[in-house]
Amino acid sequence: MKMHRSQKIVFSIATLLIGAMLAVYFKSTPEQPIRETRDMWEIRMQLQNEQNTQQVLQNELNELKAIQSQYQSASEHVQVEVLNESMERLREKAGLVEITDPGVVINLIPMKFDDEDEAVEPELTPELLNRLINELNAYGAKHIAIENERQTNMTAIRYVGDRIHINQRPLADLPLSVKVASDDPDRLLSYIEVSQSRDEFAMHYIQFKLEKKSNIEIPAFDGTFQLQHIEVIEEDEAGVD
Amino acid sequence: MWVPFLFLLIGVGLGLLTDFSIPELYSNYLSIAILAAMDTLFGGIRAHLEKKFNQQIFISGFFFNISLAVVLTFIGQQLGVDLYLAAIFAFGLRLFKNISIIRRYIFRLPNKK
Repeated sequence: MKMHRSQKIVFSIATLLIGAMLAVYFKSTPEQPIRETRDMWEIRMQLQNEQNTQQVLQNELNELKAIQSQYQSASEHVQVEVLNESMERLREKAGLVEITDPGVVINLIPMKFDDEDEAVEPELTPELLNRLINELNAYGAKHIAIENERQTNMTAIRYVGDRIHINQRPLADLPLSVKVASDDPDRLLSYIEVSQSRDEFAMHYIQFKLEKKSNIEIPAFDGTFQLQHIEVIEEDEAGVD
Repeated sequence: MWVPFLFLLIGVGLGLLTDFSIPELYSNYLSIAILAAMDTLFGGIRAHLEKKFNQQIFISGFFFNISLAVVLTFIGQQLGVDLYLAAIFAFGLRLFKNISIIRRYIFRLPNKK
């Protein structure tokens, strides 16, 4: 299997080229890993967000630890008291307790038109209400009720047929009132005044009339929660570590 | 026989060391060019084993095949027809045929014909 000298050179150059092409090819193709496109500011914002989240979680942990130590240290009577207290707090969080708190009432009223001919029917949709609730929550609302239907974490606002149902009950026609309890009603009020929801409702010919009240009564949620993925574990030694 | 192999390694090293890379868009062309080059190379080895090797044919074939494959791919991309499949098919088929013949020579297996 003897090779001519020139033949060898030709083969060598051919393989050299192939090798170089292969190397370039493999270097070029996996060139697109996910690139970091965020700038400094965005990364800093994200870091801040994460730190805030951590802070919140830390606070929660501390609270729970305090409760735990109370359980462990105190006598039975105090234990029961603490248990009741936690239960009450959780019930309040879940929306099972009637609330009387300062807050804002948003009256949703059909937009008025000067000229009767131009009048357009206002159109309320579940999306609008959902967005409003999201926005209110973002602005620091603590408890919300739409037309005395308490909004809980499990509340569904949706069409059933062509009517909007909240908590499986049909919603009345406009005008409606949305009650929002907050620790800082002034702030909430000014937020709502410039909120995006206000514009979105206006696009559907619904106006906001805002009222600040020192006492709003927000009814309790009176249905039953349907928790699909949670069940009670019944064990004798529950609560003992 | 080991000199070409050494040059292959040198080529790979050269390609990796130089900071040269082609855009993703053209990787199609490069892959088809590699295939064409390999096809010609194995064709050359086969011809050498059959003692029919002709340097001019090898060199012209090497560059001509690469160019043809790239041009075919280009035209295919312009027309929206995957013409490069034709190149892959032809080259791939011949590659296997050549390698099988080379195998017979190397392991001294009886020839089919």
